[in-house]
Amino acid sequence: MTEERLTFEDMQAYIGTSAPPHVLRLEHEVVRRYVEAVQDPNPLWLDEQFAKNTRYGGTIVPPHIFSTLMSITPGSHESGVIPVPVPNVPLPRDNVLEGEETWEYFTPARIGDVITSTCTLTDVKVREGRLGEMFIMVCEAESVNQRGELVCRSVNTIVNY
Amino acid sequence: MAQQVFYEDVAEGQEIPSLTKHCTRRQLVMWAGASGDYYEIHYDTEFARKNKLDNVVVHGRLKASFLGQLLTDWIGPDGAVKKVSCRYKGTDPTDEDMRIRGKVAAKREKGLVDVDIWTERPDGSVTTQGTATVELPQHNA
Repeated sequence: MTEERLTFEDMQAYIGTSAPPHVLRLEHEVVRRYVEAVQDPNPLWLDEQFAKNTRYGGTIVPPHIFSTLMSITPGSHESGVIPVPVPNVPLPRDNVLEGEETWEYFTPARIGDVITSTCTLTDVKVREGRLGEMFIMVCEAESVNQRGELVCRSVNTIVNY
Repeated sequence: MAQQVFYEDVAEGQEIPSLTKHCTRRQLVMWAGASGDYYEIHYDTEFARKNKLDNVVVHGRLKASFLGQLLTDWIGPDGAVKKVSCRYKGTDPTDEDMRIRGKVAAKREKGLVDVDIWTERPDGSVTTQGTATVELPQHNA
């Protein structure tokens, strides 16, 4: 192999890099397709009649929809086939697996909301695993709605090998 | 929908109602379209093999969504999910039953309950492991 591959030292320089803010419009169709794919028929997501008598006073977007946020970052596919949370950071290796994630939820999101998320690469580690040398990349994101209210905060790690 | 569960009704160590999923490649394609995750290891066998996998694998974030569904089904429309963490420990093939399970780990103040959550394959191996904090309504709040 003569090609130059990014090293652990190269990657340190990218820590602190943020992706451009990502805007997601939570249109009805986005939510409908999501719950259809998950096969999650909870009436709290799409049935206004049902939802108006709950603590939320109307439908809310399933909190777990934010698990998709990384994937639908525009530009996340430009470098190839792999969706990455911070598209302006190069991946040192070719393959990606998801590692570990945490989501914290604050103001519930609703259909019609416009969610703006900012994602930052906060750490890069390297270790040997069953797939050989692996880069562990840690990304932290914050999502706010159109009123500036915090909706979700997340930390995710991807394994690049 | 099951009846609303209240904070007073739950006990530490209690298992919450599980979900069973049976992911087909079709469902992974639906998820790819809904989420925008078009990574080929989730629908292209040859591509998956080139990536050191035996075959296509279920998206980690689809499993995270199943864990979310497990929680929101259980806590009912008057509960709230506060925090979910999970670690992807292993990959899951398509066309087998996946059980999504949870157990009450701790009851805290103000209706908050910690839950251990996981997904498992038919042989009982755990492929996603996590914890969550939910808020349940209280009878006397």
